[in-house]
Amino acid sequence: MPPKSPSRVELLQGTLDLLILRALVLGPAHGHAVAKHIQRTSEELLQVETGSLYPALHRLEAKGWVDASWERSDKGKRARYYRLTRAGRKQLAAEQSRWEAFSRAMSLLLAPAKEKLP
Amino acid sequence: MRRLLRRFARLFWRRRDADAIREELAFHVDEDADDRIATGVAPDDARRAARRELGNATIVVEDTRAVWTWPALERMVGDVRYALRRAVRAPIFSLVAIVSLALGIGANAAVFSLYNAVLLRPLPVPDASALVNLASPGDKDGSVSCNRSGSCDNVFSYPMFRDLDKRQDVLTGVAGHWMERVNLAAAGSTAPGQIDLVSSNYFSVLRLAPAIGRLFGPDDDRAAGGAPVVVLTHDYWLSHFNGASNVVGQTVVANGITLTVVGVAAEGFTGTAVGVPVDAFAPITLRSRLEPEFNDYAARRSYWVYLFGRLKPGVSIDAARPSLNGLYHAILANVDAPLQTKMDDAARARFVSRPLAVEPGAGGQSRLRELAPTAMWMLFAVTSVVLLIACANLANLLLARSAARTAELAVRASIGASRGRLVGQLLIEACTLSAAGGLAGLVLGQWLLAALSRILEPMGFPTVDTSLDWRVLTFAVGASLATGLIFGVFPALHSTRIDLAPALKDQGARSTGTRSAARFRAAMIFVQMALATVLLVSAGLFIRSLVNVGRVDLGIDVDRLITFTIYPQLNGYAPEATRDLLERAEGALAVAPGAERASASTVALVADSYHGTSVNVEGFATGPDKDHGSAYSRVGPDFFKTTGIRLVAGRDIAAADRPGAPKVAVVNETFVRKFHLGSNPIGKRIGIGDNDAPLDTEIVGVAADAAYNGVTTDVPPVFYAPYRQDDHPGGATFYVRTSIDPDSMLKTIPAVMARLDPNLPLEQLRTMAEQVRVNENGSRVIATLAVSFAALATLLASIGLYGVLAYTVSQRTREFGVRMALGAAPGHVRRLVLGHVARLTIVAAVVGIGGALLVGRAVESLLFRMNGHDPWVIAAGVGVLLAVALAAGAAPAWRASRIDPIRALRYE
Repeated sequence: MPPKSPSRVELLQGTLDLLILRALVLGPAHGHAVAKHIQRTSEELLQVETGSLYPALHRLEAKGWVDASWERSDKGKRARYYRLTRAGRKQLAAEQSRWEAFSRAMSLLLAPAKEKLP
Repeated sequence: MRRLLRRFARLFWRRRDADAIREELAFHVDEDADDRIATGVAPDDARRAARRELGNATIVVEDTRAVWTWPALERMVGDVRYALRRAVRAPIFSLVAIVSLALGIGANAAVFSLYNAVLLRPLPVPDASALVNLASPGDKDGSVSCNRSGSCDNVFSYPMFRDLDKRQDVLTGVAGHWMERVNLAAAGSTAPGQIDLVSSNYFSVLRLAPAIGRLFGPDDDRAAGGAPVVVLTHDYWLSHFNGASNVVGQTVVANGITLTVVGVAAEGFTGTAVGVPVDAFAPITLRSRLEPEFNDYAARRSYWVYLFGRLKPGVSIDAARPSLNGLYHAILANVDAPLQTKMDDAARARFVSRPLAVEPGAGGQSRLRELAPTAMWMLFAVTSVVLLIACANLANLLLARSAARTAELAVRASIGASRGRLVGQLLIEACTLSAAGGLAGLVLGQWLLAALSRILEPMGFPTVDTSLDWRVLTFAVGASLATGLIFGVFPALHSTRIDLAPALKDQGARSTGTRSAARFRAAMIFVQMALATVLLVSAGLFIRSLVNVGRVDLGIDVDRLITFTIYPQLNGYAPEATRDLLERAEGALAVAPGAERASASTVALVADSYHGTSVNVEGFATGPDKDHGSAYSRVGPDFFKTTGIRLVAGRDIAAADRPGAPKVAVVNETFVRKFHLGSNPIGKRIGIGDNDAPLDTEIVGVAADAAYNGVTTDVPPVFYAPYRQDDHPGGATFYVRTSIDPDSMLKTIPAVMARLDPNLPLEQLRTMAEQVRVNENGSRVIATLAVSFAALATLLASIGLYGVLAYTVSQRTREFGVRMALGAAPGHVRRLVLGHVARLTIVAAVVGIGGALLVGRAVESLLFRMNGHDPWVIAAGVGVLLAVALAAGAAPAWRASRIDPIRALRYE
């Protein structure tokens, strides 16, 4: 396994689904576009492994959160496009608020403001 | 649900699916490469980098696909495929295992189909589970009529039925019915048929819809004798009206009464009595017209109506019971009890407190349901034994085969397969085999069922719907998987207990012939042989019994004698006209070409008909504790000459014995003995009908004892009196003695009878020899079943024995080689193997005899003139088993004796 570039961050378990759903809010996209979007929006901090991206996309499809269909890409090639379903939007909202709560809790705990064990 | 289907779909279209994912990934790689080219990387380098980025494509495809499938399930599918491949590679092994199981499971599936059809299948009506049957167990004073709709505990009086129906608060209604045997004429032909006489709410309680026209409404059974209307069953409509849509308004004639068709019942509904399909339904108030002597609509002491109801929505059967009983007891106490004038207080208390039984009625009412369970469990017991023997074969075969596979298993274990995985795979192999056996068994079962129905049919076994349904399928699937699991466990556990080093070194040639496996094999064979002994001895008992039945001297000359029955009364003939018709028929039959003479009898001989009455006999003391019962038959002139029943003294019934002439009778020898008529009964007088009837009939002849109602029943005391002197003959059975081939006479008779009345159906037209065979059918059916199953069991056991011996011999090749190298003759080796077989068989047989004695005691009442522990039969059973076992051992023994010592010793 090649060593990871130190500037990149490992994805937390379970967050990939959230990121994919979030990326698809902007409209239908194929797997490569989703990966690029995540990478670009995170300022290259997050690198999505192809080996986990496609299982995740299919997992979301199996759960009914996204739909998929074969369409022509901009360059006229056959590509598999994923789009958010209504259930997917609901799931995204739920995941997002859970993540926000979690991240707030984490930053509170990790912030070195006034630390004192009771 | 859609997702589930998609998952299944993916499971089976795995290739196309993987291709789609591969295409998706290829697109990804292309895009990635394009991006890199855009940043200035050389195209070849860009593509290589993109592919590197992707990693191992196959793993990504597998991981992605795994989202859609269940890995465990997929592994199972893989195992099943592997098992199927293995099964195909060892065809003989597979065939023996599958055929064994197919026979075992097929036999059980056939019996279960019967059981299902008779006892489980609900009526084809909406929400059948809300139906309840009512019954009134306990003694009934007064007249009780019951038939195949249920036991005599289940009938109610007509007024009680109306009272119960009127005051319902837990049932939507109480419906009543009575099955009536009629002569039914439609579209110009008359045939015996069944009409269910039903209350007008019968169909509404069942919630049945008409296929055509209407069903019954309240006006149809308002008055006794009323509403001459009829609803046809779908089957009858198809067979007798060709499914004509204009059937409403046409007529059928039942017992001479013209009934107008008002509708056709829903397809598949043939009444509520399982096994007794009816042809049509008519209002219950018609009984008095179809049966002129019947008029019990107001009689509270005449019990004949079968009742069922439907629970109101939300009412459970347990909640309905107290409510219905309360209602019933109120009616008993206030209305019925005061009519019972002869009761003392205790009897009255018992009478008013008798329970009303409320039982689930989803399956309808049937006498069959009450009689069937015992027979079913007996059949099940036998078929289970057969299945057990088949399973023992499977277990032994699996064990033998897995021994041959030790090397393979050892290799797999050494490269990391867990024991659980190996056991799982072996179990799946066992289950695959047993499932194949089950599938074949299901097919075979249908065939066996047809055979079984054919065997049972002459016993009057009714027509039941035995088509496959989910219950039978579930049973077959369950039975096959259970056998696969249960009998696969020991072989699987045993053969995965591997000591790796020697197993690998030895290539597993002999290393698992361990003692526990040998013990298991011997135990299986032992059980098989013992069970086969039980079935063989039982079969022997029934065969011997059948032989005894065949040896009975009937006292009737059945050679060239033809018999058939007519019921003119059911076609509306008055007694006078019936008598006249019988006389004319006798005359016409006697002069028919090929006939020698003909005579009629009101009671068919050897046909399970028994008419009995009390008699007053000259010189025989009367008294309340004395039995005055005698069977009788009303016969035509020359009855004894025609049937060949020997006259010991006196004369035959003659044409001159007509109304007005002195009353006469011929009695049989048992009658003479029972009533102490002494050595000269001729001229003595008897009275018929009661034990104090006037002595107005003179005995003019004594007949030798001859079979009366059955071949195996004791001959009762019988008096034969002329039917011409009978007040109300309803029908008669004719006996025609021919001088020509009986078969051609059978063709002549219908034409002769049609000239007298073309609408009169002839029933049971057959030779007397055939009639006797039909009557012996009980014994024959049991013997046939017993022999079939015993043969099946023995065959399976011998297959098992052969398999194990063949295996053992191959395992002992070296040992036999050594023996022969040291000078043992081939005959000695053969004797060694066969001696082993004989010892095993005899020990198993001894245990089996113990079981057979128990069975013999249980079935003794079914045996004719013999006991259940007949030593000759037991010896014969053991002999057959020993012969079969030695035959099964012959080939392996021969092979053992042909072992070449040199090659055997080099075998290492």
